[in-house]
Amino acid sequence: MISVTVAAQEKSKRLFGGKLKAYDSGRLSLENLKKLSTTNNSSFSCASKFNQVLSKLCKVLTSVLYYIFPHILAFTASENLEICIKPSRQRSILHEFEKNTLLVIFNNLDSKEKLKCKLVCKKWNNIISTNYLIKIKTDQIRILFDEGKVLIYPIDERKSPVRHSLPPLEILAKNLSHLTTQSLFVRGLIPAESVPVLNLFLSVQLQPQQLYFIWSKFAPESIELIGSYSATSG
Amino acid sequence: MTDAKNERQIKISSSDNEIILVPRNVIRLSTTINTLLQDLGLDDDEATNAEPIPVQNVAAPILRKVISWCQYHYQDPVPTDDSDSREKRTDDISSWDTEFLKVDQGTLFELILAANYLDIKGLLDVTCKAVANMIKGKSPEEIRRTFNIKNDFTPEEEEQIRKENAWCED
Repeated sequence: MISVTVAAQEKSKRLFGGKLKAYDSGRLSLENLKKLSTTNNSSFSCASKFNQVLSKLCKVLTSVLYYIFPHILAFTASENLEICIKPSRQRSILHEFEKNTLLVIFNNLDSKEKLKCKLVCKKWNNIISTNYLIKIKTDQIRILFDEGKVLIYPIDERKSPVRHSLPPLEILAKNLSHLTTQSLFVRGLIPAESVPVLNLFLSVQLQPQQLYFIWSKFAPESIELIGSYSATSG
Repeated sequence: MTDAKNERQIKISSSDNEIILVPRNVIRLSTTINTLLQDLGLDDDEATNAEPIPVQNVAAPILRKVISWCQYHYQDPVPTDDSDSREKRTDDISSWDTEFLKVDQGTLFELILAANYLDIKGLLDVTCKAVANMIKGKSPEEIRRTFNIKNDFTPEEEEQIRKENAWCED
């Protein structure tokens, strides 16, 4: 059974919107939700472009040499060409395996190994993301909107909780989607955030046994969502 | 159990046109060939197949290895496949299979493709388990190197997945 604890704070000192990053507050910038963090990778693409140009140049050079001295350079040219065209060893046939065969392999891996395999290549990432609902159990998840922090307590009590800074809502949903928790602790929710945040909890299925709201204020529309949340979790 | 040697022999031909004789009961493990034999009405005791059954996708060395696996396992009890979606153990490969699977990576993958094509569930399971064991405990980069897989993520995409995964670490 689920127990919902709501402790509402009378006066909210913070204002929604405005300078969101100030005071390290956890106000979600709802307007900027679509903006994903894009980092600079100009140096990387530069390097890869340089490599491409280099290999093309190499190819052209060898073919020119080949036409000028077809007999003398026949052997070396073909060797060079091969090096230029196929810089790496032949691809493993594992890459050509169809989805179902890869699934038989992935079925043998636990959740953490599957998550790791998502990082190998796009094909593996797609297969794992679309075929498995990977859920890792945690003891408690604390989302502190007032501090802009998320604390994740592992099941193993000897291990210390992991601290993350609160990301935009969209990313928060993605990051939470692989977790389930015994209890969900939410602090400092404000009315404007209550509906999207509760919708997020509904969508990611954290399956908490206990749900705590401390210093939180809710918009009237969100009350119904709490009700449906209790219904799905219970 | 009847002795396999006294059984009816089925002729199959490999992709490189080698004809191999295999006892009917042994090749029963291949659902593909089993169904084919039934469909062709070659399942009676008297019926013989003059024309070998072509196995187009499997070359003779691999086919012989597949048959040797079937020869050892054809009397195994049929496994109950109720736990298909569950995470499985991979440390329960029998010692005979462990010896059998001491092959190079290329052969292992050929065996998987053959087991898949011939639809031999037990062989597919054990070969895939062997590959899973090669994945376990390795970093993504080590996995790519082991299987010669190209990293086709952009740095941002990779970082995004890494960030998602970071929330699952303890």
